[in-house]
Amino acid sequence: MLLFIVKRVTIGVFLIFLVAFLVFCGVYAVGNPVDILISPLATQEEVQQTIKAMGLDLPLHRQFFRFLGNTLQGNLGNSFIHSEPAVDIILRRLPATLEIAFFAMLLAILMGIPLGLFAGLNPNSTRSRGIMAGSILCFSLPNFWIGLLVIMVFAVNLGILPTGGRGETVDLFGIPFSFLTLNGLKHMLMPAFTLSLFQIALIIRLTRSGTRETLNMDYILYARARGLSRQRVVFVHLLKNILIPVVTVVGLGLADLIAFATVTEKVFSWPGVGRLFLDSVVNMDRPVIIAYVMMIVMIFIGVNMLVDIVYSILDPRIRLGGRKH
Amino acid sequence: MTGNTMENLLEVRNLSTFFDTRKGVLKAVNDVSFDLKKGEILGLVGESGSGKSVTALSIMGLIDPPGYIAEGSAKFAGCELIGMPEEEKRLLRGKRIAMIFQDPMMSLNPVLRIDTHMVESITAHRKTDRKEAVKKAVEVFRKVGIPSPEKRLKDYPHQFSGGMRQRVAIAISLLHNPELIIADEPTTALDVTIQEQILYEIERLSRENNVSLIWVTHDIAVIAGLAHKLCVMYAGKIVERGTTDEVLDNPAHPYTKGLIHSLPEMNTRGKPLQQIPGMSYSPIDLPPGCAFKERCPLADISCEQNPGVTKISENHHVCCFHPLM
Amino acid sequence: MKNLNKWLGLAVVFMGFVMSVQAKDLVVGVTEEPAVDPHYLFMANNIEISHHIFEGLTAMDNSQNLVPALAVSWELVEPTIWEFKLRKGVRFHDGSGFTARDVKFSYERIPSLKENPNPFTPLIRNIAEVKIVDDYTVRLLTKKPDPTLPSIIPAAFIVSNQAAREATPVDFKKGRAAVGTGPYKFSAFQSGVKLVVEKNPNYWGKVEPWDSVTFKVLGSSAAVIAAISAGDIDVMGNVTPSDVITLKNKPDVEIATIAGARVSYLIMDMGRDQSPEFTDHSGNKLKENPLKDLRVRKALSLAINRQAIIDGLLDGIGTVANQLPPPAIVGYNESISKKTYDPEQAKKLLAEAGWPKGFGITLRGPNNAYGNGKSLQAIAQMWSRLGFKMNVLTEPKSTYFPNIKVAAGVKYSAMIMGWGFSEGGEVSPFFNTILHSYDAERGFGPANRAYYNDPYFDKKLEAAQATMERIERAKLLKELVAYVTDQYIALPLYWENVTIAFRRGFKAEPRVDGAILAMNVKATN
Repeated sequence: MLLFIVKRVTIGVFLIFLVAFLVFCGVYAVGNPVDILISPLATQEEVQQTIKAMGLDLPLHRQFFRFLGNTLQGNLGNSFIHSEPAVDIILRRLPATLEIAFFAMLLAILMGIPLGLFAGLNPNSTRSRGIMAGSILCFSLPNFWIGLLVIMVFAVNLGILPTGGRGETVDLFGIPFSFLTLNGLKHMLMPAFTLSLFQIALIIRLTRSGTRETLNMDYILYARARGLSRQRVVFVHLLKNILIPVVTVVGLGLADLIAFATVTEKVFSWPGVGRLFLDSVVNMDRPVIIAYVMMIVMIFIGVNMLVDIVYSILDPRIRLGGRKH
Repeated sequence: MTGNTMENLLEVRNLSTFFDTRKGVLKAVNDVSFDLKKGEILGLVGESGSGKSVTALSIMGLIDPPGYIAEGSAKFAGCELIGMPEEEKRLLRGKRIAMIFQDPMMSLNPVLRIDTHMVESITAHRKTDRKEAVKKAVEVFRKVGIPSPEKRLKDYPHQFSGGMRQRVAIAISLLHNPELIIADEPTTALDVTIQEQILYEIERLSRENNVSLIWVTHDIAVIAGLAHKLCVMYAGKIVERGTTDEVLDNPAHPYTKGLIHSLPEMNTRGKPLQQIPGMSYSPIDLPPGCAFKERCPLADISCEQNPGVTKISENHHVCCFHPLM
Repeated sequence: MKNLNKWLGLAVVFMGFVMSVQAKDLVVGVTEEPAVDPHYLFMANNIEISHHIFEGLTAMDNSQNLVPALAVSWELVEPTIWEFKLRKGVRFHDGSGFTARDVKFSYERIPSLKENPNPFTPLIRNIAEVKIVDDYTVRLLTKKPDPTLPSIIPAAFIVSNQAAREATPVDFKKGRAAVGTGPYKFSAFQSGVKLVVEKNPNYWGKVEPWDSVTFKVLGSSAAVIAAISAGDIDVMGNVTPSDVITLKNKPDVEIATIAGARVSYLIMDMGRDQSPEFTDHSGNKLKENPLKDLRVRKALSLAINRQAIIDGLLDGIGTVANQLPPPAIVGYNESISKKTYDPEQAKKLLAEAGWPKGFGITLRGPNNAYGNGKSLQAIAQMWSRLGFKMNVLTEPKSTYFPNIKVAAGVKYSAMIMGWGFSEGGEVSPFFNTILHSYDAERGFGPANRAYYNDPYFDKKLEAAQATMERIERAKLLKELVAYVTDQYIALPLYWENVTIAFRRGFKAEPRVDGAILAMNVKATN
């Protein structure tokens, strides 16, 4: 286990820097942020001075090495727009994204697994067919469209939910979270719901097919042959087996949600890292762009590793290896 | 059928189980009848697809759509099983009628520990706390000859060898002192040496506890020394039934004869094995008449009709127009 | 006696309750994150917000007229020395007194901010030194004589030399350095969410009616529209013409629009011998530059039906520009009255100039600013009717601006641009930046994308800027505008309106420079 973790972490670190380099080159190639940000009134001299002051006149490799050196000291540079360390601003916005990502996944699990289970146990009922058809819709409708629709209906027309932004926050271990207040929950509901739709569809379909497959297994037949109640057969024998692939999907889905909540955050003006990233791309806020991408790579590597670990805990065949006797 | 109904533990009359498939109706079990007394061991012999497993599952009430019991009755200790409400059937399963399956690697849930299997089998029919249940589990493990039962209880199925796993299955079947055990090819998946052991175990336990046993197998040699009576099945029908001696010494049906003569022990060394000529039938939409007529050396035009039951002696019956004498 | 006290106490509590229930709060919707530090990121949205907490020595009123603010009077004592008499008795939000020291500190802080990709230095670039004469008198020494200095410095905000000592923008966001003299004081800031300011009861001017003003940061202009429709915000600015159509249907939202100080114009390469995106009809780069010929430039201008663009793309909100500066700006020349749209004349001129069928032009613009490229499509259509082979390409701001840097060589030949005339209220900064011939050392023409090189123009502009006397100066500038208009160097399209929206129960006054100020919003009912 330890060797496994060490291996993964080493590869991960290498990957992070590779991606950082690629993004660095890409952003460098697009242009100089000063040219976009600076006032049109600025003279050429002022523009040059500003560029020099920000270290943006150095050639690519010099800039990258400076960046590398700073990174190893934990400094990823200051955001051009926010004027504070990129790492700080990202960390400050991260809890908001984590909030809706976790809630979206929670919603997806709470709704997806029961619905998928029902559809798997009763494949021919009209309700099951309805569930599956609904899941296709959830896959195919674009996130931002659903978001805008939901805002229009519930916020603008009905006026029962806010049009956007984050609600009141309460500090938990020093980090502000908004799910602890009613006002916060009201603000969180639509973006978390919109985010969750794709995952709900995924989990429904996965649970359903897992259920259909597992139902044919001999151990289910054997459980029934032993006179176990239907509850026990479904919720212990069936569920424990389908949960293993579901856990994988949930883990990766969570990483997905954190990384790609960008559009949803923009539509709902949710102050998370996704929206921060979009804004920083438009404004060519290079330090934030690079720091964000590095963070995403870290999250994916970390989550993948965690899922593998959890998987091995859940499936004793992997954890304990072969026969004793 | 003769025999005092009061003595018969199980009376199966005209049992038919059909499957609705896209290609037509599959008559898996077609008008099957037999009796079983208390303490008797019945061998249900036939090649794969002959309907023997389906017969066992029909008695247990574990036939799922698209299968259904078309007609017939199965009286267990005077109670009619066919059409019994599901909850009542569940109470019988594992308690008064137990089942052992062919491959315990498949019938034990790989992600659940053995003690979990044992405890749930116990608590499904009896209100006990976990400690009591584990005690009982240890007791039956000793009975079936599993060494260090307390330790092994904490293992997972894949940590047992094939023979050990089958001993576990036997142990589970004995938990509630059933009156009838149905074993579906319990030794087929085991090494030949282990087969002998398990055979011996089952026979001993059945004798000691006065448990009736239905042993389903395709290998007539396996139960030759064990069963009191035999039923030979072909294409969903019982083609010959009688005491083991009667059937093996004087096989009346050409198929039975073919089965016996194809056994390696019955063949002379150096000479090619005798086979039953022809191919197995297609089980869907069988033509009327004797199903064996395509492969029977004695078949003639009369075999286009369904042969009725011919009594050779009180217990020895055959369904054939040309019984061997 | 005891009873009376009890009743009095109850009455006070009741009044307090009633008054707190009546707390008047204003919510303004914005789409950009506020910088809070008034010297960081020289952009209109930051200046707009800074006006609430901070003030400059002078200020612009709603119609772009110069009025006193932290300075009560000013005088040009010598050609390069402006003397300002400061307002007495002004207190910062932390209670400390405002003096000349704060002015010097602030003006020196502006260029000293490190890592500021968009510094406020253009405002004070002409100031060589700030001299403190006494606590309430300060002298600004300029490098060159500049009679317009007082109208350039309203956005050079004054911060407290105690609270902002060695402060970074982060210190302002945290609030400890955000100490100003304005009608509102800093209350709270949440990155990405909002900035809240509360009433300054000790303001030297008229105390504001709003107890608090919240600048809510929303993700996009669509989100702001949704928010004002649902009542989540009270006021918004930057209402685009398509937004106007949406909001017109909402009974609870009112729209106010006035002529603004922004011009939308086309700038086309007329100086280089070969221009990158002028081609023949088969797409081959032309060996010469047709726009060197005044007739071609004039034809191109006359072929644009500006009113049609305004009516079709801006829902009629805007004014046809017959010259670059709008009427509110010094330099605007009332006597310019020629037709701006004359397709017949355009055809004739083209033929005269030897381009009867036109040639190939690629029109360039940003897709997330300046009307998002829609006017380009319309213009392309109008020119193709004259026979031109047109191509329209847009791209995000982040790549558009780097591609049109004069210092690196402008990659395009025809571009759409916009200019807001707030700074100084004169046309000269614009001409300096866009039309004066490029001179990196002296800081002229950094955005002269037309490659316009005219010594007559350069000299006259420099002379106008050196002219101290107001009326004479205005006259010179008007002549310059007339000259440039006749030369068709940069083609003005239209003057944008400033359009704002507010909910029922509020009334907001738009400002010519487009800023939304809580000071201009009143509650109705």
